[in-house]
Amino acid sequence: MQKLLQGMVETYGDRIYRLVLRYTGDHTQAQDLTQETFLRAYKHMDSYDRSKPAGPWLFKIAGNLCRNWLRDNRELPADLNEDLYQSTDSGPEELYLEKEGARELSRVLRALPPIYREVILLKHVGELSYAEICETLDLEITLVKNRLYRGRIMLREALEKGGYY
Amino acid sequence: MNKSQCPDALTIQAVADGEENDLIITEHLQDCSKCRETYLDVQRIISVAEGLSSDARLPIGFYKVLSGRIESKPFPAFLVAAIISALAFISVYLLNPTYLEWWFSVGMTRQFGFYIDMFFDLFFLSRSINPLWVITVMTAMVVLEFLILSKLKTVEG
Repeated sequence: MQKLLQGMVETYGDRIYRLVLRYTGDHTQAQDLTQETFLRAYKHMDSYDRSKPAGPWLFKIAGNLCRNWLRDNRELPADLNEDLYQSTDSGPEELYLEKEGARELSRVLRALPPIYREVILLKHVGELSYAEICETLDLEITLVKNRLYRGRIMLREALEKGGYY
Repeated sequence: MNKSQCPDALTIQAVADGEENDLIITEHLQDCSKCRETYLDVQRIISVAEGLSSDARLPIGFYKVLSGRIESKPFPAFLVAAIISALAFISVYLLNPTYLEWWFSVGMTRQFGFYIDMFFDLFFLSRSINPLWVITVMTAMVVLEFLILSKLKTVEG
């Protein structure tokens, strides 16, 4: 069973970590929550259908932990660690603008209603397919497509307002 | 669906996400300027949203720490609480045996809630602090108490 868990960590560990990091904004807490996700997965391994990929099941556990974390911590962090932003080879001015854009994107994401935010994060940070998002959130595919579309429109409108789009 | 029919925005989004690869739709997107505009618009917001991801990775040795936590069995907190309670009774007996007799005959009914509270406090303490430390400290205190009492008895004659 530990071999199965190791495989899960290797395949999904980084993606789950990145998703949790988006919620907590703190590397230590993100590591703790990721560890907790895999501990719970190990504990409830009997309920995992081995004929299916483990991704949606693990993201569901991680999502529940993140929701609990948010409930206890009231809201998403005001800002994320500097090193969370994707590094590029740009010059100082471009780098500054990129970071400003990334900060604005984080701010806009925080302002989105949770149902849209969740789908966007699973798609763009968790790198899940529509079908996997459906399974993770127990939603119909039409609803997932709809939420993703509306969420993206909201994201664009908010970025346009701030002059970042 | 035929080639001249415009797909809805959700289908165009699915194409942009790589979830839909119906040849009729992709051909339509090439021919219809309105749909192509929607497609490019969706693609642009997708590339912006991609910025939400990061290159953060789990630290090296993450799995080792995780498997270490899996292998270590949790210490039974109830057992710890019971041991500490027993040590507390021994301590009370050493201090004053009559108090323990009084407690069993009269005090138990009056102070039962207090002892239940104490038991659960110890239970939660054992879960947050390494229980072996709590037991060691309690045992040390009882031993110290026993030594002091025997010393006092020697002095009193």
